[in-house]
Order: sequence, then C-alpha cells, then structure tokens
Amino acid sequence: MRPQMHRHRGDHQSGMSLVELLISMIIMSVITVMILVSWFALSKSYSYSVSSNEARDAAREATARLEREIRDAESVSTTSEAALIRARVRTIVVSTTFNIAGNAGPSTVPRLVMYRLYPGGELWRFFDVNGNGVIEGVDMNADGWPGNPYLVGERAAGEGHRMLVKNVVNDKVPSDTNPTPLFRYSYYREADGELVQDTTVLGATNRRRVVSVQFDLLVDLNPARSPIYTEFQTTAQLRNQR
Amino acid sequence: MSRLRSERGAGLVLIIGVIAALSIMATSLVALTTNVRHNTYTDATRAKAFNVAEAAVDVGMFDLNAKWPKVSGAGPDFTAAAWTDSFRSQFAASEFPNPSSGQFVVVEYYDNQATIDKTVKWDKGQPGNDSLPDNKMYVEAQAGVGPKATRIIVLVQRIPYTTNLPRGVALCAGGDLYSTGGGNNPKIYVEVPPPPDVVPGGVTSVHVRGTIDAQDVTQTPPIAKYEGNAAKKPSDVFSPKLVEALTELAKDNGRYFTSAAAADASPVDRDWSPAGGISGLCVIDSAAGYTIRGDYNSEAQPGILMILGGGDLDYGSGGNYYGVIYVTGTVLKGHGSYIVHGMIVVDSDQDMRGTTDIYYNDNCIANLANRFSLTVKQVPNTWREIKPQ
Repeated sequence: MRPQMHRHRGDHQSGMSLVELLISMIIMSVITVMILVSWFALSKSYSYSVSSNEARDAAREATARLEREIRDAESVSTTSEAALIRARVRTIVVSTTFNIAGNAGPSTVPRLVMYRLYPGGELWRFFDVNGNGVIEGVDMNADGWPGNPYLVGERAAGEGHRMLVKNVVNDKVPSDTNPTPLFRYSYYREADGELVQDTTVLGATNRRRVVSVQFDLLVDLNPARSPIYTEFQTTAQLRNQR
Repeated sequence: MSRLRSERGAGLVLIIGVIAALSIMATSLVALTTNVRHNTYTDATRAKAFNVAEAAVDVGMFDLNAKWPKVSGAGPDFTAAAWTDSFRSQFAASEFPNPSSGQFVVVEYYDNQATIDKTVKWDKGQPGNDSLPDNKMYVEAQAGVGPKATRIIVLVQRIPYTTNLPRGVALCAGGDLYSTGGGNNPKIYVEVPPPPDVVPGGVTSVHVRGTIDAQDVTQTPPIAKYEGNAAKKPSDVFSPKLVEALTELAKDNGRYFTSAAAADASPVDRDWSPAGGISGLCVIDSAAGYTIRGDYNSEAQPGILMILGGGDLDYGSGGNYYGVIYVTGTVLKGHGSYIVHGMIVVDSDQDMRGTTDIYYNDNCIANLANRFSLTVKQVPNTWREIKPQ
C-alpha cells in the first residue's frame, strides 16, 4: 500500500497539464501588469509630489521674502525718491533695510532690491550688493510685455542675481492676451486723493502714496501637464508709507 | 519536485519586494505631506508672531500717548505683570501658543539720542542734543509664538494737542464785567505778558461784549480793554470746535464728568490730572455748575477747566488755578480770595465784585501747547523688522 500511495502523489505532481500552466501564466501576467501599473502610477505620483513640493517651497519662500522686503521699504533720507523706486506690473524695486546686519540702528542705509518676472516664467531677485545706490547690470526702467522683452543677459549679469521661482505662468493665465498681473498697487491718487489700484504707478509723487502692494504669483507645479498651477497671493502694506 | 518548490518561493519574494517598494513610496509620500503641513504651520506661526509684535507696538504707542515720559520714571511700565498678563489675555493660548523660549511679548522704549542708550526711558533729548526733548522715542517689540519670533523697532512721535488759544487775552466775557461794590480794584493783572513777537507790543487785553462797570478793574497800562462790538466774542477765543475737541479728548481719557462731585472724586492721572479732582483737563457738563476751592496745576503744567451745560463757576474759598477756565454760564463773585493764573473765557457775565483776581500768565497759555498728547504716531521711514533676540 505504501509504494502505491507514493507513486500516486508523484504522478499527480508531474501531471500538470498545459491548461493549468496557461491559466497560471495568465494569472501571473495579470498580477504583474497590475503591479507594474501601480508601480508606474506611484512613481509618477511620487515624482510629481517631490517636484510640486519643491516648487511650492520656492514660491512660498519667495513670497515671504518679497512681502517682508516690501513691508520694510523705506526711502533713503539723502534722496527725494520714494521707498518704492519702481512700481510696474512685473517689476518692483524698493529700498529696504530688511535683513541687513545692524538694521536696528538708525544709521543703516536701505539698499535697493528688485524683483522681476522674465519671459519664460522665471522670477528673479537682484540687490545692490556694494551699496552704491544702483543695481548694476540691470535696466530698472525696462518694462512692457511682450513687445519689449527684457534683456536675457541681465538675469545672470545683474548685481546680486538669484532665480527664485521658475515655471511662473502669470503671462499665460487666463490667456496670453490677458495675463495675470504679478504686482498691483493701491495708492491715493495725487489728482483727487481717491484710493485706486493699478498695475503701474509712475512718478515719485504717486509712488509715495502707495500704501500696499498685492502680489499674485501663479506657479505651474506640473509643466508637463499644463495648465495646473498654484496661486500664491499676499498683500504687503508699506509700513513706512501708511 | 525540488524545482517546483523553488518556483513557489519566488512568488513570495516578488510580493515581498513589491510590498517593500510600495511601503517606501508610501512613507515618502507621508513624509512629503508632513513636510508641507509643517511648512504651512511655520508660515502661519510666523504670521501670528508678526501680528502679535505689531499689536504690541500699537498698544505701546497707545500707552505712551497716555503717559508720555517727559521725565524719568513717568512712562508706562511694559514689564509689569499686569501689563503683560493683560496683553497675553487678548490672544487665545490654543491659537497663539507660548514661545519655545523667551517671553510671549517684550516691549521697551527708549530715547532717540545720537548714541542710543536703552536705559534712558524718557524723552530726555534728541540726536545732536541729548538734553533737548523732541517728543520722539524708539519703541521696540518682540513677540514669540511657538517656534517663531518677530521683532519690530519704530521711532514714534508724540503729537501734542494744539489748542490754538490766542495769546494775551486775560478775560473774554460774552456779557458784562462787574467789579464795583466789593473788594478793591484793580482785579486783573499781568503776571507774565505775552512776547512782543507773538502779540504786537506784548499787550495783554480784556474783552467784554457787554459793559465794564469800572474801568479801573484792570491794572493800568499795559492791559487794553475792549467793550461791546469792539471786543472779541467768547467763540472767537474759545471756538466751538475747540470745545468739541477738548470734550472728546476728555471723554477719551476719563476726564469728562456730569457732576461736580464726580469731578472732585476723580483719581490722579499723571498726565491728564496730576493731582486728581479738577486738575489737568477737566470737563464738567452740568447746569449745576461748579464751585472751585484750593490750588490746582502749575505754570509748568497748566490745566483746562470747562464748565458746560450753562453751569456757573463760583469760588468757594481761597486758592490758585493755573491754566484756562471756560464757563458757559456766569462766573460768580464767589467767596474768598481766589486767583486764576492764565485766562478766563465766559459766555455770560464775569462778576468780580468779590475778592477774586485774574493774573494773565502767558507761560500758562504757552505751556498748554505741549500739555496734552493727542496721539503718538510712527515717524515715517523708521519702521523696521529686525532680528529677534
């Protein structure tokens, strides 16, 4: 009896049919495909999360820094300029003491800081490193979009240059012909004293009347699948001009 | 048989590997999400710390307005537990947790001399002259909320209330001036004349819209007398706008009363009522009027007493009042020898038939210009966010 039983079990194992093999292969294939699909989906999700997180961090840091520098803006006592040196739709230039060592002392002289959005969606920051009163290598007066594109070279040549955020899509949202202003300024208009909001404020007299700056940054978190963007908004009140 | 067993094990290993990879990814995603939440929390906390610091600066300015430190030790004490506890109670601990280290709020103020000395906590001088006050001081506030702290410094300026009272007017009455029948003339003197560059000739004057019953009521030159239409009206000297503004100021600072008893019982306030009672700024809005007794104010710290509601002013005994008295009723002849050093403006009659005198004192009028704080405001271009300590 014992040899018979042994033989019977061995016959069963060696007798796996072609059908059984095919079925198991199909099941394994399905499982493998499912695993691979999940894997790629998760990889993609992971990659997106990492990149979007980095983009969010960069935009958040840029927004926080910009807000504080605008908030601290103060005019230089030896000049007749306003604290807000340029107030344009994609460019802002302020003189500020924010984050300058020793700025608790009244003798600290504010330095120039410029933020500018370039075609291609890059937001850059420049500042007057040597304290000579100008930001060398950039044209503070350059403006206009898209007819008067900024000098591409000034991004790398500008004094104290640093790219803060990329994939900014203000110029594409909601459309190319109707872009979203990066900066808007609230000020008491010289002519009638009305509180108005504009994307450009010209003349030192009006710039002295600016009380707050609205910053609206649209960042594409996934450039491969536009238009998916996150909006960073803040309003900085100029403490020294209110 | 051996090969078959090995194949079964490969599936297990494969599954374990996939699960491990999925676990790593899931953990990473959790970590990323946590990081985003942490960043959001940090941003929110930073904003809260900033807002608390700004609030501290605002409260500091408000308190300095009430107690501007003209002399050492006269200003508010921001280190007192009562102050810090009161400030802290404005912010819910659940939303504004205490800082990891240091205090929730620290506010200090010091003078703006050329060389900053934070121990000089009064308006002692200014850049270029450390003994000439300029109504300016630095306020520094630091707030800590959770792991974040913000420190702000700003130069603030005291804006004194300007009365724009005309100089050189000893008395302006809307009715008559009586001085015969009791006591001896003259009863209106010049204690300190107005400067000639302020009032032509440095002449003191008396204005009575009605009649003056005895011309010798005033000291012989240099007091000029104007009667009838030639005289200024009380509203020319003490304008309705001034009455309204001072009334509002008094209400804002607890110096507005609807009865004489309430005014007499009012407590000491270093700036607004140095000796309590009717000292300093005092507005009594009562048809029952007020009877004044005793000494109030000084040449250096004159006061303003306003009797509104048509009430009269009477004198109950002897004493001295330094400053300006405005009465919407009548000034009665009173009892006792009372001297007003400064000026009196009265809508009705001025009765001086008793033994009361007016000594025009220009210093009292001049010192009123810097007497009471209207507000303390920030000096432009001095607001800075600095590194927390």
